[in-house]
Amino acid sequence: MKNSIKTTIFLLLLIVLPTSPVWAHKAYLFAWFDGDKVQTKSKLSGGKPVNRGQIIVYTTDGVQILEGRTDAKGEFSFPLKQPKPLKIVLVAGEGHRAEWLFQDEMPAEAETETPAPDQPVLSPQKVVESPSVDCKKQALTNADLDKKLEPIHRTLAELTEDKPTIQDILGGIGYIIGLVGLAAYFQSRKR
Amino acid sequence: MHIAEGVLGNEILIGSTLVAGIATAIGLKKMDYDRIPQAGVLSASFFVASLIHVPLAFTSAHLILNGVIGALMGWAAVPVILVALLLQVVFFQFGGLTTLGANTIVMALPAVLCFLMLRHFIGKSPLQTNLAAFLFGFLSVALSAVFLATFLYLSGEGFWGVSTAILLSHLPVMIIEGVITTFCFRFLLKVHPAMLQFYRPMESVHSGNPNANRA
Repeated sequence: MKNSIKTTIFLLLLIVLPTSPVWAHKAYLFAWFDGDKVQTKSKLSGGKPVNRGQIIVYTTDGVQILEGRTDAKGEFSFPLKQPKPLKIVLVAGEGHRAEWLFQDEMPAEAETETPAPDQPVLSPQKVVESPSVDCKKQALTNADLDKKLEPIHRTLAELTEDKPTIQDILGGIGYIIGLVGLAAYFQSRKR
Repeated sequence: MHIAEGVLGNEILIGSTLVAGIATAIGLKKMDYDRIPQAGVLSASFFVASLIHVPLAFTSAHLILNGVIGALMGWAAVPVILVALLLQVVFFQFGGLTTLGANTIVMALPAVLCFLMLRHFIGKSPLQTNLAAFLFGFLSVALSAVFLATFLYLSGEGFWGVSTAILLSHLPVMIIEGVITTFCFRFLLKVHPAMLQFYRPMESVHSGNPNANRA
């Protein structure tokens, strides 16, 4: 019986040891528009940033535009004058891959018909009357907003990671118990 | 260690699904239906094992447990691990549905290979038993790393660089799994040897009838 006690204690110790970033199961990619460039952040499950991961940027038609590597913080940025739809792919080694569909977030020109919701509403007539001043004002406002929004984007990047919850674990184990029950039932019917 | 969606090419996905399907069929055929509860417990352990982190010096690793599953289940390790991998995809998004076949090959086939290679060494001298038990755990993870590197090589990455990196990074896991498997074996051999798949009188093994004379 001593052996079994030792074994149980050993296994329990393994379970109870504090968790920390793990060799990854999943890679996450988050990207946002940062004024004049697109900022991407890559992480592995558990929070570890992807170092020297490969980032490939495609158009929505699948044409590769550019390619680069993430730095030690898992970040990689490339210049982009105006946000347009892009597909960003992260290849993180050991079979990990993540995608991010980058959308048109904020209109950057003052001549757009629909004004951005976080700016003073410019009616079309006003824009026509004094285009240069409003253009500059909008560009400044855009830049300010991008700066203010960047911490929020980063926080969103942290939050998008979905860790396995206890409900997931119990759900999975429940399915296994169900399968065992089914198999046992059919086995008993055979007999 | 789970291969994500979109990493492997279509031919590899189809081929690996076929091979995994064949291996699962063999495993189901060889599954002893008295052992279904055990299979369920092992499947649940595999399912949860990836969440158990073992912090090491500068990094940490997670358990895989395919050595223990191979030792206890033999060929039936394939459906056991397949079910656990499927649930991991659905619930945790570890790996992918299209790569389910490839991931099964990576995790389950090493267990079966170790079972086929090492089962004769259990139950002889204590040293052989302990060594074989350690190798069960160690080799299962090592072969999994090799299979993973092979899949990545087939999808375009260079083989030696990737495989050395994966093997080195999983070396602590191999050792820990070897130790755990040894503990499991010693415990089971003392308490309930019949649970070990290969613990049967040698005659039935040579006669080729896997159902005969279950100890």
